[in-house]
Amino acid sequence: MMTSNFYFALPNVCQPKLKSMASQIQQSYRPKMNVQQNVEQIILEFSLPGVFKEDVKMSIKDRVLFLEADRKSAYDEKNYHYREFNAVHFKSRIQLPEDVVTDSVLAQFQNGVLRITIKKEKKPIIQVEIK
Amino acid sequence: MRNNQFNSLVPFVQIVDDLLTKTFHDHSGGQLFKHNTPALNVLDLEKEFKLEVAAPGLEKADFKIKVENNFLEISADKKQEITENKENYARKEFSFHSFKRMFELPENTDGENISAKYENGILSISIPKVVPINKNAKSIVIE
Repeated sequence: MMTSNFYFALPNVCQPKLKSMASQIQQSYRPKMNVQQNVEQIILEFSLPGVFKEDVKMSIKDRVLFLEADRKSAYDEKNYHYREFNAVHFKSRIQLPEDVVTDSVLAQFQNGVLRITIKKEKKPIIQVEIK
Repeated sequence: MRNNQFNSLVPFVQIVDDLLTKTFHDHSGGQLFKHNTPALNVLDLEKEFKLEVAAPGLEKADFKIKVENNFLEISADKKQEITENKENYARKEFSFHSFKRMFELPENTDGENISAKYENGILSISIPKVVPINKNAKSIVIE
């Protein structure tokens, strides 16, 4: 008797379609992003599960941040019984605000999350003269 | 008995969601309905089944995996309230959620020797397959 287990519980009814589509997919996906801001800094977080550090490329030019990453599949396509995430190429282009100091950028990659901290310019306090 | 693919372990929402996910082919692993549930892959390898759960931003200690009555339960508990200050977010597309997923182990698996590791935001769980011992088979010696 067949039991209802993780193998059978997960339908693979769409699998042939999925596989045919998977072979066509070579385009890029924008990774999910969180942005946190305060007066001192801007923190960008990218969700890149399954990506290795050496497969992440990041650069900043003219206040535009470019990010590229590859999630590679360690197993052959035929071994996947059920699939909700795939090997994919991530690509993102982010326009940074005007007041960032792009020569002090800190990037940390941990547990599939890339966290980029960019400092902002210290704005001078303008004293307003009261006449 | 016919294998009923849409059984009680797959709630209706998930079935619809699976169909939609596959139809729209969401590679990011972002589900349409189940925002709390991380994306899952099931691998059928020669000697084991492997479950891959895409759960970025957690720590090894946040996960709990247990086998009880042949049910495998994977959960993560993140106390996110402590670390996050909601007001600073200009944009929020993902967060580090707590989740729980439960599966019944197939008959030919060894629930005693399940192993797991967390690497690059992917939790992978190895469930060894058991080589079936055919009790009815008996070799007969010809004298």
